[in-house]
Amino acid sequence: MNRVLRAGRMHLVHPLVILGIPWLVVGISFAINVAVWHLTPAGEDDGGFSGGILALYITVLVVYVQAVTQLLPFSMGISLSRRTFYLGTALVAAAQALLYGLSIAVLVAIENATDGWGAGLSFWAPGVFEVDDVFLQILASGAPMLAFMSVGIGIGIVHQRWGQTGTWGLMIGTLVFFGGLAILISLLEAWRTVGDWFADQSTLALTAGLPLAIAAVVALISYPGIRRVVP
Amino acid sequence: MTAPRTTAVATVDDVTMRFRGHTALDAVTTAVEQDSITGLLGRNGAGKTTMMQLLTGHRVPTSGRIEVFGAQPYENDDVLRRTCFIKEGQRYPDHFRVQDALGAAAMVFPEWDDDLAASLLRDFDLPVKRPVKKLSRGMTSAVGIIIGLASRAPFTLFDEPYLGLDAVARQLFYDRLLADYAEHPRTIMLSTHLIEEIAPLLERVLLIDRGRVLLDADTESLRGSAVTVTGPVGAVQAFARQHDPLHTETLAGSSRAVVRIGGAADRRAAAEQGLTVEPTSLQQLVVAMSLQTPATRAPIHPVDLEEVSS
Amino acid sequence: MNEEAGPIFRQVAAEIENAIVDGSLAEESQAPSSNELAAFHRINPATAAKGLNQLVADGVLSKRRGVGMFVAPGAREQLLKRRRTEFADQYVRPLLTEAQKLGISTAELTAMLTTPEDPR
Repeated sequence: MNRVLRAGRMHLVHPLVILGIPWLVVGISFAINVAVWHLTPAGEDDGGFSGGILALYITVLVVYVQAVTQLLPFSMGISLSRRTFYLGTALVAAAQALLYGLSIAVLVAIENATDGWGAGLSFWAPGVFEVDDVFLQILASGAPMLAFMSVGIGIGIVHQRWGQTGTWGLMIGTLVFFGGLAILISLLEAWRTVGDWFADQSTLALTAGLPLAIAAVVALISYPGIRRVVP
Repeated sequence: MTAPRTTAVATVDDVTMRFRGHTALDAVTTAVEQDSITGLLGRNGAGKTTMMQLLTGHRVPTSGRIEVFGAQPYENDDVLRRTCFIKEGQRYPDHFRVQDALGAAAMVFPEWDDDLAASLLRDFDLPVKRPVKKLSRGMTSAVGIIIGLASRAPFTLFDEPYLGLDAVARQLFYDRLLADYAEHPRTIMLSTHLIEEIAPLLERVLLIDRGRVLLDADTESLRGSAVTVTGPVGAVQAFARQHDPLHTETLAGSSRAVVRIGGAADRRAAAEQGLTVEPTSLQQLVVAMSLQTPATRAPIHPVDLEEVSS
Repeated sequence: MNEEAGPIFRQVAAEIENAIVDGSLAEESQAPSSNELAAFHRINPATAAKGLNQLVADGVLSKRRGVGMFVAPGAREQLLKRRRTEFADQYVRPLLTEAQKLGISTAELTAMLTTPEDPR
């Protein structure tokens, strides 16, 4: 356990990388959105929201891809097992997701209190992701974050284990899978059923349950992959 | 004579490692003795790095069994915490400065010695605040050497540890390694092409070629085990035939041969047959053995090797 | 140490013997430790220890527990005696072999030995 904590600490050697860059990116995105909302009538209709926060989630994903590709070879170089590195990384991801959820919940509260930064902007919890309870908001913002981290770790592992070829294969495979799924749903004329299914789900199931399930499934698939990495 | 030690830190039992299309290690069996310095020698592609990767759990053998500290090293934290593997071309995270890399190593190696790391930093004159990525090839090697020595890991492996290091820095490495090893005996395995330089430090030699073990012996007995004889072609041939010729060159009626012999009596015999007899260094022996084609290779008699030093 | 001069432990032993023979390492004085020898010659400490142990086995050095190794009383005389007996083997015999190869007669050889500076 001790070694797992130490493996986790290795991610925080330069916290600016893992914490600072995502907030820098989303900060810029936020500033642009606030400016646009103030200059244009975008926020005049009720429910005007921006997808700008996606920048934060995607940057975090990239950070975690790099966390694996950069730190895994070094961690193994100083005699940490793959499992220890994996658990340490998962621990940091879980803690960070919680922290990010908390931060976003606070920002959502400010957003709501200031009438969308004075411009009716719904930036930090757009659309379905906005829930009415602070604690649930932490979950609704944090759980998708964990899913993005898990996917990032998964991509990093594929890159470490199967190289460039593996990464491209993963991207093409994912595209083919979802494309095939879309064609299948079209052939079965089942789009309405799919839509109904989503509509039937509670907000919490969509914003927290589904992302947490994705995070867990990706994590379970990634683990056998990391066990086969040769640094 | 010291009594033969029976304690092995690592055992390799009939290990074969196959990659797509080629066999990196072929039915290798050996043991690494506790508190010794072993030289892992061989040509490029002989299987040295694969051997070290197997010993440190970075790879799993295709068949056979590897044990380090009595257990399989793969994903075994209990074994790994006592093992330090400094590999050639170790990658460091882009944003890690020298002090970050050392700090991380200090966290995970239970026997880590901060004072030793600090004095080695001074010896190698490394800028602690510079990113490892920005260091020269030799300085990056020095970072690895510092981690390897300061870790004081009971089983430390260096794979080509001094790429790009100048002669002064290499001398420093040998000196500091010896000094610390004398104070804190541990098991060290080193792979290198600079055999001449490292030879006096080695207690044992493991020579592999094309994935097979050519030599697995104590260095001192090897030093007397081969001679270079020079003289008329006929006389050299006659002497070589009685023993184990490794490599022969001929020019204008005279030959020079590296020959494995049984002991001092054979050396005298060669002299009495009118041949010039010179001792063969470890490097010459390794080169001569590696140059032999597998077909001409005589079977290895480990018994012969042990006899020489009496 | 010379990589090309056979086993290093013998070279270590020979060097200590030389120091005893020429008097720089007096009888009853302490011999260098294996770690000192290892650091000085840049050799494996086990190899240095092997050299020392050989001298102990030969009765040249004696072990004092917890203190170190000391030159045994009478070691110098013992070494001189041994070297005298080895002299014929190591020096005279090669001399005779080479002389024979060159066709130098025993009489000529004797003459050379008695007046070595004679330019033939």
